[in-house]
Amino acid sequence: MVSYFVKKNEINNLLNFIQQAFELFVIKEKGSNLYWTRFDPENSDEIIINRHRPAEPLKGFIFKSKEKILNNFNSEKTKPSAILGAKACDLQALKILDYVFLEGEFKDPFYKKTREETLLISGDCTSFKDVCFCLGIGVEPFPKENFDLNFSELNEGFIITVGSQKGDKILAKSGIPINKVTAEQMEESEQRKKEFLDKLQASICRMALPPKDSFKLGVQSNFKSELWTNFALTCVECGGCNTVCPTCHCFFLVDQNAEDKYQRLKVWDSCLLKRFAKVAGGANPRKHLSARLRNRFVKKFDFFPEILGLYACTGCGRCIETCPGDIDLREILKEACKSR
Amino acid sequence: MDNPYKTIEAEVIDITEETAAIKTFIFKPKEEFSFRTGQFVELAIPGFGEAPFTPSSNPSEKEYIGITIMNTGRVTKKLHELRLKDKVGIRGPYGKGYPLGEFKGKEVLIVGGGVGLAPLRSLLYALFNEIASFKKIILKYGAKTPKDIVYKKEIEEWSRSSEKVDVKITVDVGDETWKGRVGLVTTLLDNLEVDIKNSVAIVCGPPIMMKFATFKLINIGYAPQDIYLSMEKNMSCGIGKCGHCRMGKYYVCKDGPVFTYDKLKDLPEVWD
Repeated sequence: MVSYFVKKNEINNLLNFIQQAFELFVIKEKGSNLYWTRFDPENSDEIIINRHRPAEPLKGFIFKSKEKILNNFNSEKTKPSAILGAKACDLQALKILDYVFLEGEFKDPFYKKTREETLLISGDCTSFKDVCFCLGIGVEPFPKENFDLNFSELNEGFIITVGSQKGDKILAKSGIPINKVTAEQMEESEQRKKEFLDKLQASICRMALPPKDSFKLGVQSNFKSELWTNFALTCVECGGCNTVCPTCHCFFLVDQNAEDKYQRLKVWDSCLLKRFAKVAGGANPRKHLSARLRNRFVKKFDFFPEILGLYACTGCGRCIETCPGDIDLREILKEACKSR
Repeated sequence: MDNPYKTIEAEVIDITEETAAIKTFIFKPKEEFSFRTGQFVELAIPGFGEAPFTPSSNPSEKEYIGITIMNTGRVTKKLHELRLKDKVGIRGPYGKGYPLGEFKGKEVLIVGGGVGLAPLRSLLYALFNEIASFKKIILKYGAKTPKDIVYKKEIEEWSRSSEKVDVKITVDVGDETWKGRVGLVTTLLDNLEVDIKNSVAIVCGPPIMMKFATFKLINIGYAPQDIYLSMEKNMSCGIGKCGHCRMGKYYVCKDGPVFTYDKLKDLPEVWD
């Protein structure tokens, strides 16, 4: 992949250029968290490109929380989205979503269109949250694929790595001065990454996670274990873990009426909710909350590795952060991998 | 790219009341629509919602599609209010049906319970279409009470249609009109006159019935790979995306709904 050095004061010009053709979303800090927000050229100095992942997952920009799939009678023409500051954990999650929506006999044309037209500009992580454990599940905090452009921060500017033709074109057409990356800049970048990795590694070491290769067998062999009942004790079935998860892809179809017309929508669903697997006759394979909590882990750590060779978890830690019952995915994995 | 959620309009051209809670609707789709027996479709009331059904009609019939529906949930309740000439939306067919080719030359044992006879009726018609290819067709059907028996007239016709066809019915609880057998459908599997080594068994019915029928078939010597089960899970999108019908490593909508028992026997949550 080709990389260029771009000075910090040129970034605004790049963003203004991108904004002409895209609806640009950037990250800003609010309270103790980072959030996606619409780019405002008048207010561009607080934009965060690196740091860590925002509170909400990237997936909502591509797999919309609510999408019209039939009779889109008031189809508003909107610009495609450009995302600045996507993190490696969220890009890794796109592999799961891409598999679900773009592979197999049927493809999802809505996902495909949005996925193709969205401009993904990512950034290396330079900080982490207490709940971040990407390295513990084999995901590096520096994007290597699934981006159009990636930003690595230096003192004086950024190393911008080109990940696609689309990214290449945008960078070239923006007209901002791009420079060859010097050996010193490369060294500075490597040094920054190494220092950050050491800190992140230390934080994750303190979590004392089991080896990542043991998750599948741990979850599998504990199917009948009491651990699911024990951990489900504080679950309030809010489905928050599903909503913030960058890989959770389940949805339901629902009709919505307006006067004499109707539309069918595809809406995010949550496997923690009781009616998720219920059929009309009343049978419900997962009547008990513990079975539904277990199901989430089976899907992520057994099903996806089985069919795709990937965990459907990227270590973003959002489910841990969001759970009102303080259910910690890491603690469940620890318990599953020891009690065999 | 095609929209896989798009439905074809279909008109109700006939309604048969099978029991107090079960009706068979004949729909005439506006565009060409065909299915293989055992596959399922998503049937929608526009503006209200969709639900999955396995057609009960003869798959060789290209002009219309028959679907037998029990009034048991939100969508089926609304479907039961349909009248002649009403319009529905239909999409599919989805999944894998019954592999008829593998049944050829064999004694085909069909075990049905309640409204589970619906997909099996379609299968029976498909078998009758090529009856010379099968050695025997044996139907064992159980309903809760005589009033819950579906396709009463047709069942009589089937049993008279060919020497190859043998039909036995039982009810869990009889009434004053019932002269036939009383007992669970599994009792019809006692003293089975079948060459099990050259036979396949196809089971469809409520989960509890499927479970015990399968166990019984195993007990009397059927190999797991010769038992075909038609699974009912919450197939919502029908195309392997929405996640609702996952069962172990399978999605019922795309890997099923027909599975041989060897694929399911070690999976959790199969019978629930």
